[in-house]
Amino acid sequence: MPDWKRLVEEQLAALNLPCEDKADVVAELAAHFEDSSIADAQASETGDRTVAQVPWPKLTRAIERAKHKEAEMKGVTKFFLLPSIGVLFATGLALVFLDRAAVVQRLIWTACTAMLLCAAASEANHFRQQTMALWLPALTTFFGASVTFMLFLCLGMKPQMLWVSHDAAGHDAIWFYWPWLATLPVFGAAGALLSQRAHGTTRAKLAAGLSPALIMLTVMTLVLPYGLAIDGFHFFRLVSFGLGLIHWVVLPAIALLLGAIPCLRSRTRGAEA
Amino acid sequence: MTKRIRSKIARGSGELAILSLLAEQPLYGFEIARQIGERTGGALQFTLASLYPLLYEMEKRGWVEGHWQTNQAGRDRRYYRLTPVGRRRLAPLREEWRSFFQALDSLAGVSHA
Repeated sequence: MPDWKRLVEEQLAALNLPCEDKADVVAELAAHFEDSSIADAQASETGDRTVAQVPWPKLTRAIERAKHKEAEMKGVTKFFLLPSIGVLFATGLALVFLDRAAVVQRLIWTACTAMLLCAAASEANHFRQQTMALWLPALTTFFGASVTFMLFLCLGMKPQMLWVSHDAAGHDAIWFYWPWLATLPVFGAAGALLSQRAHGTTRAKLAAGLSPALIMLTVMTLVLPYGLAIDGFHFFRLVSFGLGLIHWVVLPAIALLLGAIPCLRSRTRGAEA
Repeated sequence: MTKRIRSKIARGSGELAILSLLAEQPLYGFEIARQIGERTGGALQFTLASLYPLLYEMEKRGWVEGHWQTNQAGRDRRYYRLTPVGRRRLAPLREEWRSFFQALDSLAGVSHA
């Protein structure tokens, strides 16, 4: 007789429920397999094949949907964190459009992200698996990398110039913020680890670990057409874009990846079944 | 008929089948699936993946409640029994399906098919 409980437990590793509920579900499904195998003697010899016939990822999501209680937001989230985030976000956007108070803008975005993370942590019980395995770790990594960058700037960090070019159109340069880049493996590892703890797939772990670079890539890709539309096409804009990609996407991505790699290699059992 | 409508019909009929069975006696998952299959001549069949999410959903709504109990073979099984809420839900559900089949019958003569 196969160890049904172990087989079911492996397949439901990603099931995001309180321990007691999860143990109940595992025991109940294992009992169902046991009864099936008793009713059909053939099945008892091919436990793995019987288990493999069940669409586990779909079943996991269906059980989570069915078992989760209706989300009831806590008072602190509903009456303090969310309204504060809304006010800060609106103020931040207004300052961006008015192009004023760069330092205040940074503080506002930092506070906004911190409050968002607090709200997320306080409501974590209601989140779906994808939020726990991808969005929260990605946001945490991005927040950590951004705050560290700002701290280094406040401490007087200057970019180290490797190459500077001056011409009629302006000047371009290749530079590195070495101290900041050196911290990024830690955040890459943290993002991937958080995702791994929530039984994230390899792709989710990678995306969570590389989120600062991915977010910058998205922002830059959106900004380029806007710049070209406003200023018209200039070759130096493309060069600046390419250099920006190196500074803000490629190098940070490499640093983040260095930290994330160990977690990518340790595969989560059952998460990608 | 779209997949969504088919899925709603399957879900609705599943709820009715489970509530009707549990109105007779408390049963555990495998027995529910087996009896539904047997008593409908195989026309209605539950797989593990379709049965348990539906049972948990009904439990969340308070229609049924589960409790661990030892069965006749001496094994622990999670039995489901109908709650008063579920019992009150059963009558209108039966009525809805009766009306549905009457409507379908008057349109397509399905009861004589």
